[in-house]
Amino acid sequence: MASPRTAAFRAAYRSQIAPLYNGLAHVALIYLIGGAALWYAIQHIHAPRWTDWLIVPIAAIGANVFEWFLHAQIMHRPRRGFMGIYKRHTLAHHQFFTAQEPFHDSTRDFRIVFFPPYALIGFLVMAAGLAWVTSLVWSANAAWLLVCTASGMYLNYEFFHWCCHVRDDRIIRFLPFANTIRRHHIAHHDTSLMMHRNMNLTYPFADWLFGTSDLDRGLLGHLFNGYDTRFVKTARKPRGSVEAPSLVPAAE
Amino acid sequence: MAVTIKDPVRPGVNEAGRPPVQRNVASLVGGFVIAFGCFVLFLLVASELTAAAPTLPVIAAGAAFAIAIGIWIRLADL
Repeated sequence: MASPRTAAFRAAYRSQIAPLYNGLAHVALIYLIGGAALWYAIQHIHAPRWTDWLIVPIAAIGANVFEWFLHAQIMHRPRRGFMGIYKRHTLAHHQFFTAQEPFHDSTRDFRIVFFPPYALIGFLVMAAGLAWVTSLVWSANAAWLLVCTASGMYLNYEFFHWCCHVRDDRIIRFLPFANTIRRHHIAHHDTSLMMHRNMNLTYPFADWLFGTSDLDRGLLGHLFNGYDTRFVKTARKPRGSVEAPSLVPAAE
Repeated sequence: MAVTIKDPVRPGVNEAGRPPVQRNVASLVGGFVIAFGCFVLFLLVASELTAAAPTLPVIAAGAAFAIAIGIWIRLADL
């Protein structure tokens, strides 16, 4: 159950959501734009060589580190020119969703779960710029594969983030990677961790790489951790507020 | 004769008793960005599907779609 403070913030936030907002339309628009970009890029890939495919893991790792950097250094830091992002994320998203009450109640709450659709346009423009450079120094196929990877990672990001904030986890708890990031991200919503721990929102690769994870285990352990809390660093365990009730496996 | 005096509307509250809608400037900029992005994507996808340069009706349809999305972004304050 949400604390009185969280409940009050949620009520105030919801009262400010415009009547014409529709959460399902919001999500549909994101996936329509991302899907169209993905489909268009796929149409331009013709007989790629194995060397062209190398761009996929490189772009995926790059997107993972970028996601980590954006979250840690822009969304959680009040920086000139990016205050809107800081306010929307640290001051709103983290007040709306706490480690004790990390779940949304209705599709109107999608307003604070998903990024506004223009963020995707900005991300696609950046990907297009990188793809243009890639086409010059690598190949056209590699460039289109980069656009595919970037679009796919963004849609992956939105889906996984929703997986973290949806209450019903009957399926998600068994989905590899999704269950990992759900525990990882809900722990991030602990106010004692949110400024410096668990900054990844898809796969906790960069958190493992830069030592900003709340887990003490290797890369594969990080990626396939699921709901396991045995490896949580003991230094933060006394706070003891990150294990939301639904994260306890039903069989136990 | 009894005189009924209508309660004045309190500052910051409209006649319906709710705060007036105040939209963020981000949704204004975002509306334009989304409209432009949707228009470009619409033309790219349409030209790919028809294997030809977009015709005037296709451009008009793309513009109508993009403007509708942009207006919704603003009205929904997204």
